[in-house]
Amino acid sequence: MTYVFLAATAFVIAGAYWIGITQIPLLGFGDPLGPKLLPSFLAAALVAVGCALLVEGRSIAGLKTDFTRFSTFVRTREFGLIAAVTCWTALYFTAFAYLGYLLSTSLFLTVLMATAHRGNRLVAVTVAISFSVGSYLLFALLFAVPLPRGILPF
Amino acid sequence: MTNFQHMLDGFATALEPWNLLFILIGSILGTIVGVLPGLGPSAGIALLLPLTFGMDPTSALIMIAGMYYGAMYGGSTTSILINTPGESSSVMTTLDGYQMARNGRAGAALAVSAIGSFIAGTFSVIALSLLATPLARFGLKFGPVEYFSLMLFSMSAVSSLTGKSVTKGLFSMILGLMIATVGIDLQSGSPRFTGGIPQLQDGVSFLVIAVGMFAISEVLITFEEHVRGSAPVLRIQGRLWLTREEWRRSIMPIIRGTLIGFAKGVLPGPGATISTILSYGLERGLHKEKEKFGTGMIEGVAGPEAANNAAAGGAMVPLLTLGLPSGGTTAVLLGAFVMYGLQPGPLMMSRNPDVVWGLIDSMYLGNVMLFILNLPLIFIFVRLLYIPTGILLPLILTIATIGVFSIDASTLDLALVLGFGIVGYIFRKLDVPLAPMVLAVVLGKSLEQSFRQSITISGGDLDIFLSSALSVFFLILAVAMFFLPFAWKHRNTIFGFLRPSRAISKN
Repeated sequence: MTYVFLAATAFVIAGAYWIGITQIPLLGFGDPLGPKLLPSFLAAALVAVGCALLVEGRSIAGLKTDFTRFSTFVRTREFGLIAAVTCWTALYFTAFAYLGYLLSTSLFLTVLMATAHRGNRLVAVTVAISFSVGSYLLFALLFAVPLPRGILPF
Repeated sequence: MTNFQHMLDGFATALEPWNLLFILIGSILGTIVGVLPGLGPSAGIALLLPLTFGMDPTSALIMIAGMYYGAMYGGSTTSILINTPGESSSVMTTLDGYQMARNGRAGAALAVSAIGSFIAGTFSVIALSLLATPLARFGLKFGPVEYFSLMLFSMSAVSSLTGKSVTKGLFSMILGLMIATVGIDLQSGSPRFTGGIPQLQDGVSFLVIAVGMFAISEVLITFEEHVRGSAPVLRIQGRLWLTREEWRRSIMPIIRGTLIGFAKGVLPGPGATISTILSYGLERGLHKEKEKFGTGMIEGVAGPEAANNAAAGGAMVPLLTLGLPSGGTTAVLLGAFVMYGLQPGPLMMSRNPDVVWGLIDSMYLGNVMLFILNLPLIFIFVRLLYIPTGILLPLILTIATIGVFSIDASTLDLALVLGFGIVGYIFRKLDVPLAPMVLAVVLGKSLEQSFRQSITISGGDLDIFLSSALSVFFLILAVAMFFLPFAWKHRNTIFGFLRPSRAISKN
């Protein structure tokens, strides 16, 4: 299934990329095909790789094994945690500019550390807040990194 | 100006107090990155790169190079003490290093690793100094046709030799090249694949891809391992030095590992990992008691560790002289050069000798600093292994966020970094190598430029790539790279096919 999945991905990306190639504006002077030339080769090469992946992963037994492995993995705690961490990080990035670095990072770290850390939760919360404040002072004030203030006045 | 004078000037640059401080900071940060579980050198350097924004390019590159070889030094610690290699090139060290630690010789394993790394590192820097100018002169003969073929060869080598499947490597490489085409086309000014998003007109930032693919995906994988439970950290027992007998047994493996590592490092492809496998195989093959390998043989640590570090130094040769990275970490380094407005290659040796020689000479000093600092400070670095993973991983995510946001203060970059992180995680789960993609992103624009320049010169005739002997040579090598893993996989069939025919021809 790994190979079939990758092959399908290759075909989808090659298709989308091909649509993108057709939208590149053609110039009436110089080298009109220039901007499209390498992308066209790449789209064709990705289709060829997709076909090669299909040939390489053609075994039905392998397909079944991969499918069983995948469906087992999706039901594990590890997958749940990865999905949760990814969603929480996505939420953090979404709120980053609006809430500001200090507030969003404190929230992000507190929840994530309190959940992932196996030891004392108080330690996790203390580290989360002190790291957020410390890193803000270091990067925004000392190194002048443009971190967002958000809704806080500082 | 002669080579020797350039070298002396380089030392003058490297010995400036600020640069000495940056060598020290880079080496220490690199060692920390190497020691921390869940952070490889590529991820670590990509994460720390934004720290160097605003610095003088020479000092910044000196610090980044310090991180590179510091990470190589530090990488063995996790292999020896928790049986967890930080990267693929440390896998061979775990075989005997961890067993030595279990046998109460962790101190000796760490010491031989540091000594091997120092000898190999110093050798490779000396060889780099000697090879840099002749290779750069050779590189000056290259036109766009030869450069295109050389870059194609380099990418083929990385794609075919990294990972288990050539097709997966190719898949990763083509995706990388596609990403490199996003943005305004520099020659015609046409926007390509931007989807009408103005921020994408400059293309996707290399740092966003490197941090996402290497750092974020590594954090996700380590989170997964964290749920399964982590390996206990073994205590350092015994003297942190070698006995006379251990010295005697280590010196030849270190020398052999150094030579293998440097030779493989200079060639395109994943030099460090292959050289450690070759070195371990050689030591095992040469030893009288082969069956004892895997039970804590010091030769099994000394050889691969020397090979690993020599390969890291060797990889700097094509990077600095031809502008060709040979793997993921050197691709990140090339990205760092480009970010500072420098294009590694033959012209950089003549245009920016102060940067090149300052960097090379800083490596001599960095190696000495690491050797002096690493053994006495190993007890401090080992403490890093006790940082709870549940606290460490969220901190790495936050540092990545600061780094990526500091590039353009763009939330789109944050979305992209997470997207590439998820792609990197899926790639790792499906055994698709990451290095070809990152390498293709870094080289993509130069590859396209050389390709189009060649096509323009020839008036659209693709035969131009067969018009130069050098170009043909690199193209043959590029094609051979794809057949090499296939031939190796089916070596018994090939040899079996060849043997009877030889017998028939004798008759």
